[in-house]
Amino acid sequence: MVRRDRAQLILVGALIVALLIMGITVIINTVLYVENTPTDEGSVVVDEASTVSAEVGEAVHKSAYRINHQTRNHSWQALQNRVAGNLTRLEASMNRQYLEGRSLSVNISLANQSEGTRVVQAADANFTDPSTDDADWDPVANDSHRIGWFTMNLDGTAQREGRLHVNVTNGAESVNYTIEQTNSSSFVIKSSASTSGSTIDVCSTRERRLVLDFYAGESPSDRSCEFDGITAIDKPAGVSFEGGKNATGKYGIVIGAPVTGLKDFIVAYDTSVGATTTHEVNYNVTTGSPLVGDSLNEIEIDYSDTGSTSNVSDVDQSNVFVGLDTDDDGVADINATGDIDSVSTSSASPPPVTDDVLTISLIGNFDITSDTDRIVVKYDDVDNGPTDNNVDVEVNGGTGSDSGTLSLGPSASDPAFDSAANVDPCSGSVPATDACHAPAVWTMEYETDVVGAEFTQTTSYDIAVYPEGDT
Amino acid sequence: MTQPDKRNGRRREDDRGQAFTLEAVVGGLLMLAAFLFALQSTVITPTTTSAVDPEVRQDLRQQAEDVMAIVQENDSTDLSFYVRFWDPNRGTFAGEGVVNPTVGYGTNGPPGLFGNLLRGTFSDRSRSYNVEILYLAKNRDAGREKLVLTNQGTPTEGAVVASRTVVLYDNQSLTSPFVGATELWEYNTSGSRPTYPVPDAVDGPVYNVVEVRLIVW
Repeated sequence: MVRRDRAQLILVGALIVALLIMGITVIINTVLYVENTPTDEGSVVVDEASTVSAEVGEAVHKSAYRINHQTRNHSWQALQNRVAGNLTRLEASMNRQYLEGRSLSVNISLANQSEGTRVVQAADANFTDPSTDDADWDPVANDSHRIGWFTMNLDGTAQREGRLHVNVTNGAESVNYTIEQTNSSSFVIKSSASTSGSTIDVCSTRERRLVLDFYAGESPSDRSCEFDGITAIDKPAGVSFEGGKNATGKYGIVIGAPVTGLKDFIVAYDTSVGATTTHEVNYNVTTGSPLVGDSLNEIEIDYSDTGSTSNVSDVDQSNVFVGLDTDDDGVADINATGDIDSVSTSSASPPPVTDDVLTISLIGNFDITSDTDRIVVKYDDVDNGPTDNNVDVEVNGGTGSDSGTLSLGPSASDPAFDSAANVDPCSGSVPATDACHAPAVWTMEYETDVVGAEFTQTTSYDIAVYPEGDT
Repeated sequence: MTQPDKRNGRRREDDRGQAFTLEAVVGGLLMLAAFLFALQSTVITPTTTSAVDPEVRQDLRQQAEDVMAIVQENDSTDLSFYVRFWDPNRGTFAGEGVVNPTVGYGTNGPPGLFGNLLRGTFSDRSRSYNVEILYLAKNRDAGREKLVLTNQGTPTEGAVVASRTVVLYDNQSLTSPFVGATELWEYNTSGSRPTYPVPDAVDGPVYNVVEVRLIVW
């Protein structure tokens, strides 16, 4: 009897151990499954958000490029408005797709953009000086302006002999290109950068044209064609042609601010009387300025000069930009717009001018670190006023103040650019002339937010708007 | 003399009764656990569809994503190329193998790189796939409309989807042969016989925003 009891107890014990093992197995399995499952789903979500963000980024880039090329007959302000309007429409149409297809939405916010001036040869011609027909000349004088995108569209049917030499330099370093046509369907492109070695490639035409993107060092029309881009050197600032009669085609160069000397103290993007436009103040921090090492708390821009009719009553915080240009290249490197506390306008003149003083208050996190820094303040919706005038504008920022003159009149700031008549300055001039200048978007900074049910992925882009791919 | 024996005998019988009860309870629990365990399991055979195996579906989804990514990254025949590979005269996609507008290329699959990848990745492994192009209607309230690039049947429960969004621009042209350089905005996109069914749905340089959707099962 005692043995049977023990055997029974042993059996019960064995059953309990078996149950425990089964239970532990199930629990361990469950834990492992739970650990793994969210990881897989998470990676799928991240992949999808990254894909969507890349798709939106590419669309912004390609549409900005197209706007650049469609709007040579628009003013700076109109160009900016077109870019902003296009982003809004692009965002809306992409959301129509993403909301239905993926249950996602995207926000595109333009943080900053810089404009340059486009120098264009808009129709096929030799690459010679448009005024002297000299084959050796400088489309952009050496060390004069920063070079943005630079493209060339060569005509393969011209069957030219000899070599076209293109030199891009920053004064100390250079990239040299030798372009030689071998037949109607191919060119030999040799590049040599002082900062690296040299490359040589045979590039094929597509429909008898060869497009060269000197910024990226590639051909959008022949993906196998690669050479040194102008970014092989730091801040390229001059372009010269040699042997300009040895090739035929078009070119486009976007140039930025002058390299030597600072930008004008105050610039109106459209200087026409009566225009509502963007004004930009470039406040120089001079050697020994008490601003250095201190934070900027307030910027006051005062248009209340005798005879001034400009007014800033429509300027508000949403269209004010404050930044710091630390390397004197004409582009704000530090964006301090987020430091703006408030923007207000007031009147220092009797009627009819309503508001002629713009006051920008900052929180105080925006420090001036060097006496070579330059404060850049850009604000939209300024009414130039109905009267031709030279307006002395005074700026008080921190403990320093400075003033400069804004000239307003019937003609635009670029004499070749007639915004009032809405005329394309680069049409009807074949070959192009030096005056064939038109505004272009050069760089864009923007953010995309991909918003899903349980996540938001933000990606920042800082792009150069130059041609690429199947544009 | 007998008293202790009776007490001992009753205690042994009590112990055995407890042991029987425990044995019955544990045995019952064991049976219940085994029954529940059996309910959770499914017999996997070579013909079992991917619906029951998340890993198989994940692999299939990854393969579909890879195919879309490879085609989209191709310089000459990316997804935009296929969206614009349209024959305006026949009113269907261009090239050999196209069946009709309802099934597109059908079981033949699209031509070129996209078709080669789809055949090598899916058809050769007894998988089927559909490729749909969903574009924005001209009228915002009409939502999206669909073109069928390839239809190989009705997807099963375990089908996976991979999609890419492609932006078309006004100054692009169709990629089918013999259409010249006519830009997209120049085609007739409405009426009973449109020369290109995808309309200009966005103002500005953007023409339409299109989703290319690959469904595999």
